[in-house]
Amino acid sequence: MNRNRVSIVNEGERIIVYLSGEIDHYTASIIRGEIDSAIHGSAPSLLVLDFEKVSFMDSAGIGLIIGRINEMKRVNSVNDDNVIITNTNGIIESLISLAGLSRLISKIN
Amino acid sequence: MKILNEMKLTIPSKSQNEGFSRTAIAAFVAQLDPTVQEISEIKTAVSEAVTNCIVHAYKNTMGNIDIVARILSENKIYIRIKDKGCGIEDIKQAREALFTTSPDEERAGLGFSVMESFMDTLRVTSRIGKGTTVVMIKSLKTKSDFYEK
Ligand SMILES: Nc1ncnc2c1ncn2[C@@H]1O[C@H](COP(=O)(O)OP(=O)(O)OP(=O)(O)O)[C@@H](O)[C@H]1O
Ligand SMILES: [Mg+2]
Repeated sequence: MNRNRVSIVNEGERIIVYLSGEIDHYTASIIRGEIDSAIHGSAPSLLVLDFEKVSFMDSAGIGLIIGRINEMKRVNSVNDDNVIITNTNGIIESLISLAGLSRLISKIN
Repeated sequence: MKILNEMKLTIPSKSQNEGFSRTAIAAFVAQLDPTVQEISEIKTAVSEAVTNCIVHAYKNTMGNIDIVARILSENKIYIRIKDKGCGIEDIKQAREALFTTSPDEERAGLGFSVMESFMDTLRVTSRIGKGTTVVMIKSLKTKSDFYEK
């Protein structure tokens, strides 16, 4: 559905994903495909997930984040996290903290 | 506790109904003037319970999900989400954070933790082969006089 558009800015070394709309189990699988094809296309060393325009998210969004962390490790053959989460609002931040992923929240420039 | 209002919704376990069901509950609850935060918390909790019916209870099949929402006295919201699916073997284990029976599908195992942290009360009853019922209650902080007039 096009109300869950994902826009991806590919800078080669870094991919920034501007998520928008509602992230639930239904939309997460669509979003996952789009992000993974960008990751596989250019094997970036950093993935930035921007949540500014996300109007709703549940645990499927957490599954989406964890899945991308694993995908980035696989592509780069490393064990360190190379995912940054940015522009989260109150409720998305509570979800991320429930998942123990607060360390990934950061501002980007 | 007095029931001041009630709605019932039955939907087939289609993934597309996740968005519809949480929005419908949010619209019903809106008459009590909840805060944006309270609405988001309720929508997220409903989404977790409904998604569990779709991806776990009726995994590989299709069945009905029965939803009841009530407005109780003292600004309390009662939500019951019921399926007639596979049931849960060990409820205590299922409710533990990060526990999931389908890690391969990118499940975080956080659904019940989210329901627990966003609602005041979470009750789960289940019977193998018969189905699962989730009851959630939340007291809204903003006091509405909608039913006192
Ligand atoms: N309605 C249900 N019917 C059958 N099993 C269920 C139901 N709800 C939950 N479960 C079981 O309980 C486990 C935990 O549920 P929970 O929602 O916490 O995590 P999850 O659904 O696996 O992952 P997430 O919600 O983070 O995507 C599930 O993996 C599943 O085995
Ligand atoms: Mg779940």
